[in-house]
Amino acid sequence: MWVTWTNALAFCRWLSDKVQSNKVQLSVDLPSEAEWEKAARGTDGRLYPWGDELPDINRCNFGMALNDTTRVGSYSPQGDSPYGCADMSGNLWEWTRSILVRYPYDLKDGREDMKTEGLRVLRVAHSLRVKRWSDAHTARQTRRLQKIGPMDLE
Amino acid sequence: MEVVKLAVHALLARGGAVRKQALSLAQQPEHELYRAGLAYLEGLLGLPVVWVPPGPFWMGSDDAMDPQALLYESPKHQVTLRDTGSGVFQSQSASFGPSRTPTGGIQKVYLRRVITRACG
Repeated sequence: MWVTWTNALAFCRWLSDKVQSNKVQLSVDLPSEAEWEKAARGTDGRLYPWGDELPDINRCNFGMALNDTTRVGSYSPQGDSPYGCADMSGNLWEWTRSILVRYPYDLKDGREDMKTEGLRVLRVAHSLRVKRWSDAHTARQTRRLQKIGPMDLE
Repeated sequence: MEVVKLAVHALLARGGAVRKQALSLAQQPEHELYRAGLAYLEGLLGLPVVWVPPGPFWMGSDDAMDPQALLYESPKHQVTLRDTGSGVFQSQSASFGPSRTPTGGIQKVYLRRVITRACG
């Protein structure tokens, strides 16, 4: 939120330089859709980070309960993914590096090519747009938002 | 692995029980050492970092398990994250940007091992 795809990438590049100037052999990048989704739901195909039960206000920021964004970890540990990743459901849409292309996901079909023009994928449900309890499905881990260009704010 | 060396050295420098811990870390399998390296990185970056292991997982969703699945989310299919220098670590958040709100500007980033081409 409040971040363009281009700015998010620029931040990653800055952080990479910082890490590598400390002689650490790691680079920083936006997650691919696959990397994001595995971090969010683990290996078993669950619908939400915590399992298949519908979201509630103790597990994630959704349904206009607060009318605002929340700090990272506000719903830990009960809202965390199997790997302990926080805020993978609700709160904010987050950028991935991937271009929106039909599944099945294929790393090598060009969707991870950073030089190709295309609409990049945002993941997770945005609380401020989820207005009713019946909209709980929009917080599902598999949700993909389309039609967002590199310069659009999110 | 440079991260691991740094982590172990940082622990060794602290002596006592911590030194013992560092020595035992050096005996553990590689992924345990990655974690030690990440603990070091967390301190360096001031960001919480979690470890996402390589291997297969279920991606996407379809009507069979999830009546609300949209066309673009299906089919549910197995995808494998490889550990050939990618997709191992994820920080939980990073706050940045000139126009951020008090709690906004949150974006997950992914840490990847830098692939360096060794000779031979």
